[in-house]
Parts: sequence; structure tokens; C-alpha cells
Amino acid sequence: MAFDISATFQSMESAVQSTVTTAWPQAQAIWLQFAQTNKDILQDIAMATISGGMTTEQLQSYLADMKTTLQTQLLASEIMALAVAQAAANVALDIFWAAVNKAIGLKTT
Amino acid sequence: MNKMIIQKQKIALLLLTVFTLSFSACKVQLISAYDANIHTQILTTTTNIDSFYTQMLATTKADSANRAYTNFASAYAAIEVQLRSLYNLNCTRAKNAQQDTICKLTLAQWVKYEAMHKGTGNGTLKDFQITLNRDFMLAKMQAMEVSERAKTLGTNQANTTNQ
Repeated sequence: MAFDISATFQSMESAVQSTVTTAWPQAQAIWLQFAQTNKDILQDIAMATISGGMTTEQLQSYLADMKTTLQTQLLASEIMALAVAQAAANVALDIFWAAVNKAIGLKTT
Repeated sequence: MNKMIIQKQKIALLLLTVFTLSFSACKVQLISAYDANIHTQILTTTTNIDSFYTQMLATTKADSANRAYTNFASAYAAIEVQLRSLYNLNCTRAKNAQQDTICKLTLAQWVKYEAMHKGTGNGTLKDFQITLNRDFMLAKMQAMEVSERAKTLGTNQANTTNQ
């Protein structure tokens, strides 16, 4: 019934690190997509303003839409952060319980 | 005396086993689980919105009768139904407040753009309005799609789109 707490925590730590490291490039790619989208929108707003087709009232309305768009992107980013935290916590818990099971000689699938 | 100690040890082991079995299945849940059907529905609605505005821009001209709101009223309603369906589906999911808000904002924006088409410029839109309405709708749909796809981050589930 040996339970090596140091080794278990080390395994948990590296599993968390690995999960976060794997997820990071995916999150980064998504942020780049958002940045490109915002750039395209601002370019279209600028074009419409420069060409004189857009009134001040319309510009204000579209800037309000930009604000809610940024809000949705921030909410999506919050979900990304929570998803990574959840995956990291679960992988660490799996390792912890596997070590406990092993220590008490319990076989779980 | 020894028999009692062994008995206590057995009880302790049994309790530990029960405790371990009870908690080893526990998972941390911070967000709702990934739903492939909702993801597909988001992608379908995104395509429909893109197609709606792109066709309007390609097949009609500003200030022409072809671009009048009445010609697009049924398509507006069809997409509104799809967006409301996504909003309702997301409302019922636990730990889904962020995505719920994204759906709400997207639906509100669609309704705003429909009113814009219906109520201004004699029921027509300028080209730049169509372009910007499409830009903003697709940006919000992108956030909605990411918020579903992000639920697979850090897991082994394959990311299927927008890579």
C-alpha cells in the first residue's frame, strides 16, 4: 500500500502542462481568426465612411455592433479558457485517482 | 487484540475503497459538454446567412425594386427561426451562460438588421450595408461556432472545422 505523493504530484503537474501546451496553439489560432475578422470589418467600415455612403448615425450603429461582436469574442475566449482548465483538472484528477487505486490495490478501468 | 486491529484495518481499507470508487468517477465540469448536433446546426445557419447576403449583393442593385424587403421577408424569417432555435437549445444547457449570451446577441443583431432593411431607404439597403451586415453576422456566428468547438480543447476529440 505505497503511495508516493511526490511522484503523483509530479505526474499530475506534467499532465496539466501537457494539456495546456497542446491546447495553446489551437487557442492562439482562434484568436488570430478573431483578429482577422475584426480587421476586415473595420476596413469595410472605413471604406464605407471614406466613400461617403455612410451617415454618422449609421456609423454609430455599426460601432455599437462592433462592441457586441467584441463581447461575443471575449465570451468565446472565456469558454476556451474554461475548457482548457477543465481538461487539465480532469487529467490531473485521473492521475491522482489512478495512483490511489494502485496504492490500495484496486483495479479500475 | 491482534484480531481487533486486523478487523479495524479491514474496515479502514473497505472505507477507503468505497471512498475511492465514489470519487474516482468524479469529473470537474466548468462548461457544458460538446454537442456535435448543435455544432452542425451553427455551421448550417452560418452558411445560410452568408448565402442570404451574398446572393442579395450579387443578384440585386441598390435602390432597385428587386432589393425591397418584401422579396426577402421569408428568408429573414427562416434564418430568425434557426437562430432562435440555437438560442433555445443553448438556454437549456447547464453551465452554458457564455454561449447563451452569444446566441442572444446574435439573434438581437439579426432582428436589428431585418428592421434596418424593412424600415430604412424605402425598404432597400445600400451595398455597404449588406457587406457590413454580413460581416457582423458572420463574426458573431464565428464566435458562436468557436464557443462550441472550444469545448473539445484539451481533450482528444478531433477539431473538425476552421483549422
